Amino acid sequence: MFKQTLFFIVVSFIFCISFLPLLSILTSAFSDGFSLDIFYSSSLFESFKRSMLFSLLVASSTTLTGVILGMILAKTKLSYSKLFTTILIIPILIPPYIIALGWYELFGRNEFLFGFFGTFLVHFSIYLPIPLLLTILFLKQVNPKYENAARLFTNWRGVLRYITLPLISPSIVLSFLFVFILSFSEYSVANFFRYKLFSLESFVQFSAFYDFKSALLLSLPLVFTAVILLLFEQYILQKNKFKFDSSYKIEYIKINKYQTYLFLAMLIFVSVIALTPLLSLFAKACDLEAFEIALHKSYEPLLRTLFYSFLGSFLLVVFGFFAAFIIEKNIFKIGNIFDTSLIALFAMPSTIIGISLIFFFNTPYTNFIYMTPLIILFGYITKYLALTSKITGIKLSQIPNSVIEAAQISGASWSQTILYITLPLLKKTLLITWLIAFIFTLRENTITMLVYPPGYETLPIYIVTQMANGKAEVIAGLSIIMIAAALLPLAVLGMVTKEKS
Amino acid sequence: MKFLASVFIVLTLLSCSKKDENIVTVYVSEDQVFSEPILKDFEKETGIKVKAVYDGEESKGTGVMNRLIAEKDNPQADLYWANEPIRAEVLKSIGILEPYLSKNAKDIPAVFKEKNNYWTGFSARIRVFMADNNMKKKPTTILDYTNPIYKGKATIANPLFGTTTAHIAALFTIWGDEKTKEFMKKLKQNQVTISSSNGESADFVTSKNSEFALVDSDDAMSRLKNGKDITIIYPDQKEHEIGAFVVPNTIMLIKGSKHAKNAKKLIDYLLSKESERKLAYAECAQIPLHDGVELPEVLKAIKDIKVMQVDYEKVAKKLLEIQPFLKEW
Repeated sequence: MFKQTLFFIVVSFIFCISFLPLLSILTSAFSDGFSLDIFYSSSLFESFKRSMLFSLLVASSTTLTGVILGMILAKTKLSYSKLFTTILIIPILIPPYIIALGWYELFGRNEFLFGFFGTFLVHFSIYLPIPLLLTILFLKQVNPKYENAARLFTNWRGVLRYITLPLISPSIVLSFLFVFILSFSEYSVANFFRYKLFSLESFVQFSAFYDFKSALLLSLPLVFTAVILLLFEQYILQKNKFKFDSSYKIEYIKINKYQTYLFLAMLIFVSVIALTPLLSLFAKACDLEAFEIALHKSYEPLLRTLFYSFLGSFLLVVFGFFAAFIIEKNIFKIGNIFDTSLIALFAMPSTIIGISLIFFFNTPYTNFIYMTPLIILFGYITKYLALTSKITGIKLSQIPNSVIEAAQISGASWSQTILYITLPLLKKTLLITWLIAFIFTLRENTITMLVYPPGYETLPIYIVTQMANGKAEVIAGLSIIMIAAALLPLAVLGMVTKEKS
Repeated sequence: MKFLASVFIVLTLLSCSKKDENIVTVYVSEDQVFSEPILKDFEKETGIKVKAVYDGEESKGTGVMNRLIAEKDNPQADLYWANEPIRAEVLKSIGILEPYLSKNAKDIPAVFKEKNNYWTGFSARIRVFMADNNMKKKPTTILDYTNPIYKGKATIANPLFGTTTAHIAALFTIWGDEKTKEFMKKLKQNQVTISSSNGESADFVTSKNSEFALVDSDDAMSRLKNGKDITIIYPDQKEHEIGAFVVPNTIMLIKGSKHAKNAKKLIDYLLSKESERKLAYAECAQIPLHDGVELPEVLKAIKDIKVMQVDYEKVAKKLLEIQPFLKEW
């Protein structure tokens, strides 16, 4: 009874804060009829086709590179591997167009940069951390006994190919799905480099025409594409149900004679992809006076950003756990629908989520939500719940039912099995899930820009508003503070987990 | 669950504890770096707390206009400080504005005021050419964009966004559809670079990626004050030419404002000669619309500039009409 009531409350809550606002805006937008004429345009079809190919390329290349880098960084004792990982994560921490600006500062208005190549380069660097982090997370949970057994018959290449990679295939598929959706709906970089992608169509309807209905219509292909990809993901994962246990002891691959070459290759890669655009931008922040101004001005927005992100990522982990449970255990028989709906929300442009939250919660009766940071937290949950529920779900599906059943036979209640069996087994996954949620909520600015209570802006919003004629040195300083703010909690988390293990 | 409940209660209490009626909520599209100091001065002088929502550049986000429209049925903003008159006209047509005639508006020229007092203009930007000082022959008219001697050497911001859209719409109202469409076609033929914003256009010139660009005067002035090697040119100043397009800031009261009395005080404050003087001396160097306001040396008084004679209401209507053309362009 307790279990049913709890899940009913969770589903109702998510429905009210996430789905109801969108359903209400869809109903009101299309209640007086609508026309699909907007889709009858050859240029629209061209940009959709271009976007599909572009996002496929970004998703494939980041996933492939992320898996290879994850293997090197997690399964070998490469010098400074943690430093390399940290640097590779940095691009995802700051608004994408700041990275674009970094490349522009370096190469100027170069024909090669403007268009496909510049857009691809920035997308590649900002989404690479997703497959990288997921690969590292899953590699750390592969039980070494499978690899050791395989090594009796084959070398490491064979072990990776036939044992390790299939075991971490859920993370590979998931990375591809996330990167594809994120790349497909991102518009600021394409706008900067003048590359016509489909995501710009919906954005232009909002920004230039103030036309919510057309913007909503133009976001639907994004959602349908994401749902089709999700079905594909479910099909692949169903065919590959592997079990693996949580283990703190990773089986390392010895790279003695390749150490120097690998180190140099990694150094070059990290320098080009992550460091170059940032250094070109931050070279301007050497102005101490400007940095002092940035520090002084960012103090309050920074505290608010950290507060909202800590809370937001915590809530995302909690609701992500419950959502994963509902999906994996098919509670109320809504597992698949719930999963699909969360992915649809994830694919929905942030502008539409923001507008729907305003329409739904900006009433005299719900001012206590709309005029407080609660509205920002609701925005985070709506947009990123799919992210945390899917990562948690994969690990949850690996926990053998026999373990739960054994506990239940011994007299444990449902809540006791959750508290003493499931959650401890999920500990490491939940920690990484929190970290990913923290990164995404920290950098979020589109929903926040639309709903933040007046006078309570976050640091990413402050950076965006300062970019309009603010001093480049101050903006660079603010970006450095933003990166430091993101890395500091992650470093503390890293130290805590290291001590515990 | 206890933690979640606590979070909810704390955040709700936080909002209740902030119930302070001596406030005014303003949504601002004028760049934060220029508008925030003026609003801080207002706070200091009146004791009224200003809660502001600032906008980013239009081409990089969807900003406060969409928020104002979405909040129409339960407005949270008391007033809106826009950096141009077109948005004001859009909001007027949707029924979001309340007329208010400020005592400080009477000396502002009628062309910069809405006839029914829905909005009032102040401190203007001018659409100017920002040219590299090394250019031998500098442009003087907007038609120079189509002059073959400048082929591949000029930049203009994306006409789908911001003041560039308004400028193009103004040309449509002055020249008519046929001539303006021909001009737009020739822009492409003359390989004019399209940037994502006026700020970026200005950067293209300072980084020598372009020889000149049509930008807002504040974009050009800020670069000039930072010692960049550029010249500012007011376009179309000869007798037979159309004059420079003026983009005044506009201030407007929101219908259903919760702090209307304070909002009117802020409107009066922004429309004062003193606020215009401050904005003239700020880095944006905006041109006062009141006569007799003290000016820095780099600025021309509005009476000394040949101004493009436009009806902003017509420009706003034209802008909506030409959007599909601009999108396809």
